[in-house]
Amino acid sequence: MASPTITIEISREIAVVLVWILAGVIIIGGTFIASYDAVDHWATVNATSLAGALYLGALTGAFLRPPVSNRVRLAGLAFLAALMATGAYGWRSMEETSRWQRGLLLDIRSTIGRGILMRTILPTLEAVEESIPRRHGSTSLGRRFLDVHPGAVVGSNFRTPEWKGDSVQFVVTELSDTAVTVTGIDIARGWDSDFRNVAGRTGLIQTWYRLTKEGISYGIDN
Amino acid sequence: MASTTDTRLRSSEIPRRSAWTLVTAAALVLVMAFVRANVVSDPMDPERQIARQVGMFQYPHALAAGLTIARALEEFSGKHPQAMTPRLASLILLGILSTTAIGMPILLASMRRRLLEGRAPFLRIGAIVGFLLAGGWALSLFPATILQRQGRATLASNQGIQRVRDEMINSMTEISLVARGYARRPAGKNGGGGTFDGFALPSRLQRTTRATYEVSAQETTLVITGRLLIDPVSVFTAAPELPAPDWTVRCIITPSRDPKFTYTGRFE
Repeated sequence: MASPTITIEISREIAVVLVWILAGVIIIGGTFIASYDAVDHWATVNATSLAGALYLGALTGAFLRPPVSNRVRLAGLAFLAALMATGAYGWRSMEETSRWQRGLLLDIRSTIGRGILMRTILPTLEAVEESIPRRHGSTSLGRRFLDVHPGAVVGSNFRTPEWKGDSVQFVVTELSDTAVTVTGIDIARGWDSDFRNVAGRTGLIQTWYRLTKEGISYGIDN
Repeated sequence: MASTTDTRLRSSEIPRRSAWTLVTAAALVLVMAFVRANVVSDPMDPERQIARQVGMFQYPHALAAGLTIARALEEFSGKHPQAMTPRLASLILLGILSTTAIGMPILLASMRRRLLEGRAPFLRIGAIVGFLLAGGWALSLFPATILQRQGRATLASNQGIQRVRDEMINSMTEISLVARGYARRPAGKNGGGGTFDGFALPSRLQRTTRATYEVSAQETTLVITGRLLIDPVSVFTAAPELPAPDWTVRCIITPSRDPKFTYTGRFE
């Protein structure tokens, strides 16, 4: 006994459109999947857009072929060219602007980060400086520092985070009778992406503050 | 004998019909933009955020740009930037497909049929659907690009001002550090003995590439004034450096209190 069949009749015209749609989905979707990069998403988006542009060119050529008049075909191709040119310009402009905004935000974060390090580390050393009696013989700065900041250990962070996500750290990098150096680090982009900070991470800001008997000096490592 | 009417689109009709189509489409884009901006744009509502992304699917380049900015904000907050989520990737792909592989074949097929064979009931629907899918992106591109360029110029100008102000604050903080050290040192050891009297600004701190600094000391109060050497607006814009405006940053410090800053001009 023959199994029942279902026959769907569609016009040739609609079948052609469906084939073009299917081809477009396969070509453009395939390009998207092949170039997929969850980190550098612009590479994926741009590759897919290029595939879309090439598909559009072929599509327009096919649907404007004779017997469509030359005048209409030229007008259609000119409109498509203008659309693609504007589309490419707008697209590139948006990519460039968003990347520029990203760089700007990270730049601002670096400036703010260095300012925060300065304003938070200085009081730790000023407190040590103020604890030294005016008329003193020889005072060990290192000992004074440990009196003011008990538990501070050379090479490790002695700052307690003040809020969830607080990334500022104070690391004692020098502790002697004559000098105390505190290095401040934060999660903000520095000038040199290869610079390795005292915590072993690369590319981040780092400043140092040094207390001696002459006073407090400072510098920016990155 | 029945007569038939030739409903094929004639070349002479195309300019008028194209003009009407553009006007209608522009109105439609404005309505869609209004709906997106006012109905689905509440940033505090996570479900509306999703609806906003879905509503933006026709603008895959805007979704991609939004992801770039979102990642930058995460890095700004100290978090590790998130990778592109499958939902966002699907929306971007859907946006590109709807414009190119779905909308354009329907639109072009409708137009070809209209040119060669005349009107048919489904053609108008096909043309509208095709135009909505393909044209929504294309028509918004022109004004969006112009607005984007203007927005970038404004942002660059404001960020230039903010950047120079932040740098001047950092420089003044360094000056206050040196001045406080001077005030703490005994008078016999080149210090102020508890006051700022006699404090002279070291030459290395008197001038940076952006500003000059001067100090005025009166016992336990020191006033630091920073004056611009460049126009801050030129920092991030392509504009050539203009004469520096008369904006100032002023800092008043005492030995025991945090610095107090005041600003003039566009630094306020």
